[in-house]
Amino acid sequence: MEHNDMRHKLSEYLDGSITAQEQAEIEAHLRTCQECETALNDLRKTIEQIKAIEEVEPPAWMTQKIMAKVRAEAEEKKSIFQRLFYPLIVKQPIQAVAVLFLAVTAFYIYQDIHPTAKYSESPLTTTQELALKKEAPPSAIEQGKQNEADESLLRSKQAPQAPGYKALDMKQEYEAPASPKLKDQIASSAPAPAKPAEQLVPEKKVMTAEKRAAAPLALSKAEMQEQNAAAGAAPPMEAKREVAVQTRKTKTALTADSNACFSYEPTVVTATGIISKRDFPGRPNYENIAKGDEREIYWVLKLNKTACVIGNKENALNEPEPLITDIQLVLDSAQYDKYRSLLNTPVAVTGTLFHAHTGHHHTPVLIKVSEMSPRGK
Amino acid sequence: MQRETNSSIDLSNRAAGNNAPALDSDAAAVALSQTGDLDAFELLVNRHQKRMLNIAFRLTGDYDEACEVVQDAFLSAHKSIKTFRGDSKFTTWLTTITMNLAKNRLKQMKSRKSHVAFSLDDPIQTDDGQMTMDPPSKEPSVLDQMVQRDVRTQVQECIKKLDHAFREVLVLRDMQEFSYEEIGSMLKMRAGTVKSRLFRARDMVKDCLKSVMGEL
Repeated sequence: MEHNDMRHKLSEYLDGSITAQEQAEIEAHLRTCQECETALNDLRKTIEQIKAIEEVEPPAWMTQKIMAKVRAEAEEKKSIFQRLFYPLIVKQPIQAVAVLFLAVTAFYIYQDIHPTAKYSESPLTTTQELALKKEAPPSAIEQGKQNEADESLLRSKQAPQAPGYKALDMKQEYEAPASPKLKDQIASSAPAPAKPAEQLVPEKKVMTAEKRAAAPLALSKAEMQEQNAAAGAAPPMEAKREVAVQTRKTKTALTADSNACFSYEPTVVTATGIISKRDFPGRPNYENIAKGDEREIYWVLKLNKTACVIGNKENALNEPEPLITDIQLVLDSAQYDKYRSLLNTPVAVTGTLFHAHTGHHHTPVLIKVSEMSPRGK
Repeated sequence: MQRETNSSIDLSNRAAGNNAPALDSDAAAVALSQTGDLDAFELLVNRHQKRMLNIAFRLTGDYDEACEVVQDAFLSAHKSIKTFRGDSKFTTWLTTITMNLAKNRLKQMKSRKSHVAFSLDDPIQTDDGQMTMDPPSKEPSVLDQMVQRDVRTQVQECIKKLDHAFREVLVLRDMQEFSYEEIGSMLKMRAGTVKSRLFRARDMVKDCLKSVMGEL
């Protein structure tokens, strides 16, 4: 090894990173070369000085600051990825609670909208719907506004709405005063979903009151559908004839037996019961005859069954009446003469209903009579 | 001569100790950190921050900048700790990150310095006209002269004067006592190059010290 090579190797020699042979060569050379020995001493002292340099201490806040940054970054990462991939042990309870919450919410929403949903199948006006929801039993008899050109389509649409289904709901939700007999009647009509389709034929509309009583809800359904057909673009021939007879004025026949709701004018309705003459207090206070009020005598139809009347959005006066038992008749003098023989007998009264709005109106709902006939005739 | 031999043996033993592929005492903490355990990572921070700070400080020559470098280094290490496969020791890996960041920081520092828009020597405008500032004497102050007598300060100054390529080898070997292989792996160079650069670096510091202090 040359002198210069020796000099270069001194650094490694001090580090002990040379082979044994190199070490021996260098040590032999050092014994003869003063310059190399001096260089080695200087190098050793330099290294010692370098190693002796004091180390600086990190500031006290260093760890905290580093970890704060690291944590902030880890959180950020979590927010993007780990929230999507929470372990099942965390996710499952959250999902279970969420599903339970949705189920309960859905149940209450369903309960809340259920009655409306049922009636929305029949073409009710908004006011009528409200009236139904608030205080009246549901009705199958409403003024038809829905155009259904295809009668078969109409049937298929109406078929699932079994009259019995409706009747049962009515019974549960509204029909506290209904007699056991009526309930039986309602129940018996339940398993006859096919009947309304048959009763769509317009001739069925002129059924007698007795027939209506036998299948009141089915009839109501049929009549409602008939109205739909009448308003439709292409009603069958028979329906057209019927429409002509009624001069396009929708007519709904209804019996009190059905326990369905009447509609106010202009809908023509038929109610059954017994007519009687009654005294009512008149002017000046319309309170008590004994206390001096004038006597007013009116004919009143005592309904066979309680009924209800749904509100009329076109006339605010015609407010819904959830429960009526009597209807005051509004007749002209000729009608009083004509129908006097029907007093205190079962009759069917046809006309338009309106709500009481003067002191002379003594029942909540009155009927402007157009026709009256002995019941069963 | 006997003393010299003993001394060389001591150094040799120490170097051999560094070279020995000892089991990485950080392995457990690293493994935990890789699973997202921040406490384990904090342990690593506590264990290595001083060493990293000293490396950064010797390379940048500025304590505050070095602190910034160390923070960035640990943050960067945490970000990529999952990619650390354990081929080398954690310290080696972390030091490589610190070295790279310190190098970049040094470039930024130089760039900042060169972008200063004005010089202190520039004349300033006053009510009485232009005035040239009275620059301080280039001679060392009394205090400086006292400090300069401090050998350690001189050594530091001499190290500062080294080119970065020599300084980093010197810092890693003589101050942090990494093995040639580790330094070679950090700086992506062969062990022979490391040895050669180290000799040059030491030689330059020796000459620097001799020129300032006379005899060593």
